[in-house]
Amino acid sequence: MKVGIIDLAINNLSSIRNAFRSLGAEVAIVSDSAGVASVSHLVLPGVGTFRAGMEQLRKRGLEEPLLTHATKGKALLGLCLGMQLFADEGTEGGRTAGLGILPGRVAHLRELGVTGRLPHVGWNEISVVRDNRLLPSNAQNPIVYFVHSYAFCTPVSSFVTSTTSYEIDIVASVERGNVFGMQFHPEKSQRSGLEILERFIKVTC
Amino acid sequence: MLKRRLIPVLFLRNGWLVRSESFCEYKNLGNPVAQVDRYNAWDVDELIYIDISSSDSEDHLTRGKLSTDQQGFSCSIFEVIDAVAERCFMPLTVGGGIRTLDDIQMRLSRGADKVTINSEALRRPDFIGEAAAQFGSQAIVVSMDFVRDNGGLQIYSRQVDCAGLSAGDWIREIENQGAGEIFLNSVDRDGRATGYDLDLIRLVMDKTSIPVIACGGAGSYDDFVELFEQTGVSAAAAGNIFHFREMSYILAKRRLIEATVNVR
Repeated sequence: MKVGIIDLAINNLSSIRNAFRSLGAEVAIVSDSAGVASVSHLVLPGVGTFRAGMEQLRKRGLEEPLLTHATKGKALLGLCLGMQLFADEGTEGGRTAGLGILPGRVAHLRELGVTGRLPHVGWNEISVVRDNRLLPSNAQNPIVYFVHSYAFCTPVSSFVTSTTSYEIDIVASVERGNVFGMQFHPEKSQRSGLEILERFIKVTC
Repeated sequence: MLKRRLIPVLFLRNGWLVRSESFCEYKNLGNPVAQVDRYNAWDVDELIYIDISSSDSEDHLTRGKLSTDQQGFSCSIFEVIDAVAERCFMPLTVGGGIRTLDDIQMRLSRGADKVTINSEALRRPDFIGEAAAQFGSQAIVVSMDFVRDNGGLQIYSRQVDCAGLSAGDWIREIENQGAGEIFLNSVDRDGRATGYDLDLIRLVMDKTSIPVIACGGAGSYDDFVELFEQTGVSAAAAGNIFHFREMSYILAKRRLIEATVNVR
């Protein structure tokens, strides 16, 4: 097991690297296709706009290696913008095609009906909506840290594993095969988040 | 439902943790990193570090080096970010002396989630827009210092002349530029422990649709309750009350829960 964190130059890598290290995982920062190929567990973090994220992925020639990683059934975890990039398209920074790993689009929370203060920032409870491998299985819903103005929308709910409520239900996490995504930041969610990351590194692939 | 946040704020001056009063009296509290383990153990919602070293006379990029010349345990903001990011898995906001996109990049890449921008935004409002476009609005907090002026609110800055600046116009401007949050500091209440300036905080809340973190004036746990009950702020921030009292953060949370404020 080796965790690779994709370097998009616009994201906060240290926190994610430190979180995995604290769990005893071997961690590498990867920025090319050879790097991606060398790891079993790949993490796509994200800070910034959808458009900037996709541009960085393509500029670094990482789109194909990332898709290959997912197709082979190796473990892939998208965090925040990283999860959003799995969608077919996004609108942040201009309409942009996404990775198309999961069906759906990414839209602004205002467009989805949120009238309150944005970004949606702070600690919010997530409701687990189906069996999954990363979220805790006990009755207590985890409280995790969110900071975002855009959300993943999908016509297919079968891979949505949890939602959070901020006037509307927002997709909080997804899972299909060994592809996982989280709108919140497990690396910033104290113990609740570290437990989730610990389950991710235990995914066999 | 989204929880309301309670945030310790740590002020750094020339590499030392300090307390501040009315934005000008400073008392050295020692090594900023030593505090980290305590906040980690307290499971705080978020941490804010603000570097208040005078940025007029120093090149903010070399401030890190200044501190290492001193004896003892002082730390640059970068050493603080490294130390916090290594041990704490909680949201971290840092501010002070940020003037360029590189300044932001250096802080975010080391483990900060958000930066606060103050003087440079006043000098050049477009900087907020540029920063939001590159790093996303969620990473850009605009810090706003205010004083009471004839019952109204006047933006305050030591670096930039704000005499003609209407608070309402300024709030609209930063929101349009793409700021993700407002960190609102009362200069009059800073270090006074007489409670938050609720009227003026409400005034700001009415003028903006982005989340507001209020700071300045907390002297008792009931001040937090009052702030949350009487205004729509997303977060209460405070410095001194957390530095000088044992278990203060935990006790404050307990008080908020007793008062049925929606906190973690």
